Amino acid sequence: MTTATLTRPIKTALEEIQNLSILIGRTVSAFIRPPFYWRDTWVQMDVIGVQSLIIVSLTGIFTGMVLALQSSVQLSAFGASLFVGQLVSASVVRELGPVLTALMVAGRVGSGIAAELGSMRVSEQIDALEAMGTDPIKKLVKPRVQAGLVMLPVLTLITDTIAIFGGQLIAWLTLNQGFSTYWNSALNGLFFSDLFTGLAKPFVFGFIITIVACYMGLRTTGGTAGVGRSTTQAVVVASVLVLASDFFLTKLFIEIFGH
Amino acid sequence: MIDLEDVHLSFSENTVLDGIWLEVDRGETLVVMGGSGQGKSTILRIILGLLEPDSGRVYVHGVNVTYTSQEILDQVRRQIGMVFQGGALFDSLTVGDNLAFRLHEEKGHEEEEVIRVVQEKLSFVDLEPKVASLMPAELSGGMRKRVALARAIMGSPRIVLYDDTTPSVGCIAAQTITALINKLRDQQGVASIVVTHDIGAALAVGDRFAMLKDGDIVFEGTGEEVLATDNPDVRSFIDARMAGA
Repeated sequence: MTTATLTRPIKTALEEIQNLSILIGRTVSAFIRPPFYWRDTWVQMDVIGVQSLIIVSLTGIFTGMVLALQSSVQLSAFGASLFVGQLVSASVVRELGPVLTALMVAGRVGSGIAAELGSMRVSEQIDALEAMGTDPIKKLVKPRVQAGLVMLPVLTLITDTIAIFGGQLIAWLTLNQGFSTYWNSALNGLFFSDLFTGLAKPFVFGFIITIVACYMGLRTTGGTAGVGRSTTQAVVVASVLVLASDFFLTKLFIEIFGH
Repeated sequence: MIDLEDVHLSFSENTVLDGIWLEVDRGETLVVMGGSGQGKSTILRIILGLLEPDSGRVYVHGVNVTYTSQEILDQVRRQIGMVFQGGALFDSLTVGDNLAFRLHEEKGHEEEEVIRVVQEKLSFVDLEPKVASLMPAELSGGMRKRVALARAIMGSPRIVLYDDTTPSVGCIAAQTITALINKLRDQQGVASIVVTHDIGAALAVGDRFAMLKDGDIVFEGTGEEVLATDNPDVRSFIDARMAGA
């Protein structure tokens, strides 16, 4: 095996990181530079946010129900079933809500963006945009990233709320716990730092999912097979980056808030 | 209007253009011929600034597009129309919105004016006004090319570039496209570069012809000179196309 064969994957990986960094830089600088395609941003907010409502609602309700079910069994053994609400709300708001919502959106929206931009790339529509003097980053990437930044926190908030309601349903059915008992416990388990963390993370995840999906779409080559590859890569890379960044963000917030 | 001076471009170790010199004046149609993979479309992409050559200079309206700011490059691009091989119509927009795209981007146009210009351009390419409401997926191959041409001339550009526009459409449609290219030149004095490997279409539209092979211009001349030349590359190219037809 030659040195070139060994170094090629490293070189390719470094090139990918460099190109993604350039796209991030150009997108961020485009945020403050006209033209602004607010109508496109609005459309993308609908695609990313409103059209993801069902999937994140289902994610939320089942996550809350499972958490309550598991914890009710464990906590009842110690006579601590009153803490079910606290456990569900803290777990969901701090961790599960942001991460699971991001993973669902990465699957649904990330693949959609990569496929759409990839198809535009291979059918020369992006070249046509540039040929008409329109910057594809301002026209295509900026609205999607803006929409992701706004809608991920909103979707996470919805997931969190529905998950806590899901937990309430199970607490009522299995522990016969009343509404006020459960919600007192749930709200007692939450601090400002939890709410801040729970809304800051999806903001970062929204950026990661949309920028990775746009990057994968724009770099598509190889016709329809290439579009398929880009779509898969967008979901995989975005999901891994969401999980990795979640670790570092959690570490950062623990350093800041002390818990 | 367009000057390419000693343009070189390589991809890895593959030399695509090896010192190309080309010039196109107002109201002139230059046909660039050559087999597949000879770098014909690459020339158009370099003129538009979509690809940067390794060396050499490319002037469009006196602006060196290889060494200029993005803002100036975008201004130059707005004065050029490009008809892509597959049409490259935005498939999420209607035909009317595809045509109106450039005017909407420029801002400052009243909606009535945009609609009027869209209808005018559709009429120029012999399409009925009702086509404006169709989606690109609903169009035939020939109609797509005509819509692509109509979109390319929306800003009344002084230069139009055609990337292999005729071969994939039916014979009658191909004749329509070549007639439109000539109409544009004769009525509006548009300078054109037509990239093709269809010798029939090339002879129907070209004022001058350049044959590209192995990254170099191996022949340049008029239509009569193309047919009369002994240049073996041109002869084998013509004979192969005639045999294919």
